[in-house]
Amino acid sequence: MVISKVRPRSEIIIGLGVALLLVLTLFAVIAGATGFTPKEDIRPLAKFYLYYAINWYEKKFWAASPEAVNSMVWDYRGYDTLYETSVFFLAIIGAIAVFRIPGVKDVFSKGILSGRGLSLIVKTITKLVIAFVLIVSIAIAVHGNLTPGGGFQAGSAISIATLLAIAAFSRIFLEERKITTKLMLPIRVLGVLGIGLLALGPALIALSGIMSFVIQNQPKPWADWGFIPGVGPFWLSGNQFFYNFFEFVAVGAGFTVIYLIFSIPELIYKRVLKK
Amino acid sequence: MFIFPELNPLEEIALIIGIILTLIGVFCDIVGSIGMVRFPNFFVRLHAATVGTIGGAVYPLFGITLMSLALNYLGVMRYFIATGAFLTAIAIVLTAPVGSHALARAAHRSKTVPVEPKVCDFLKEDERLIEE
Repeated sequence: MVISKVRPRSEIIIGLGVALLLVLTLFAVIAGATGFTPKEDIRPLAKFYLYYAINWYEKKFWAASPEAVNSMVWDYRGYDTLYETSVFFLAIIGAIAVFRIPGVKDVFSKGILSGRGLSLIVKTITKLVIAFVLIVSIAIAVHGNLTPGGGFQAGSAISIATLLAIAAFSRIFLEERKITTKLMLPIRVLGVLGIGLLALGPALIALSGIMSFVIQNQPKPWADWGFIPGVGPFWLSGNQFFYNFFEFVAVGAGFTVIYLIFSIPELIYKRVLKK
Repeated sequence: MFIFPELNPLEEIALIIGIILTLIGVFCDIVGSIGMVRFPNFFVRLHAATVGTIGGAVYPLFGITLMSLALNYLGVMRYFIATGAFLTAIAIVLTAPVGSHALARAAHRSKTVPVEPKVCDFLKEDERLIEE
């Protein structure tokens, strides 16, 4: 065993640097660098959110969601989120277009790409973790209007299951379970269509004479129409539950498509391009 | 009852066990970080890092589970803290060893790191046997 007694100068400098950084951070935090420290009383901004997000006494302007962020994203700031969703949709179309070379098939037979995957230990635990990821991401999506989370977060969480499966097993593992870009593209179109219909639905109702506006959720003083806030024990927050669910479907399928495209080896593209 | 007068005996025992588990975690973290600096090659350093993740994260999380269940002035929130800490501990127990196993296996198979100061290398001997 050879262990050098004298440490190189770079290691000493790195160690001292880290120690200095820790001490400085400690001083900065004590001096109040983290900014506003929470107080006992409610801040004016929090009061605003509590007044407009969920307000059982004055339902004129409420969004019917106990999650302030969700009520802002899907109700008060709805247009922004709609355009965000469409930007994401178009971005993935762009990625597919860049990688679309005629002749490159999405599905490989077992002969071309024989992937054995990682060892048995990794595979066993990955199966468990994938199950956890699926459950947790669905929970994030469905509870999006009640607890922190929401559609986009849940969608990016469920796409991790695809990534884990590609890394630990192989692409063929997914293909055998029919998870291909051919399946995922229509699914994400369905998700975006759902969001669009939910947003434009109130405007279609306006055509029949009832006052309503695009992305309307709850009844407003000038528009008397609105979604039902909850059915029995299930609190849907009007249409926000469905927005979250469709966003989850669209984003999850979109990221899955990206991972599936990126896992096609360069070799196959080169083989097709040489022909 | 004995040290903390406002807790009942069961809660007090849980609190003391929780504190002991957290201290075990501190010990494992110190041992792991010393090992990371002092050990000679990649594989034993990985072993030291795993001491840090399993011993230094899982034991304190179980300790936090017990401690938060014991401290009754936290109200209902203690069940949230306890469940969160417990589930995180289970997740780390499941995934951290798999991560280090995959790293070590990949490093050995791709021969990126030399198994240099070594006593024996059973994996290499096994591979030789399979080849023959």
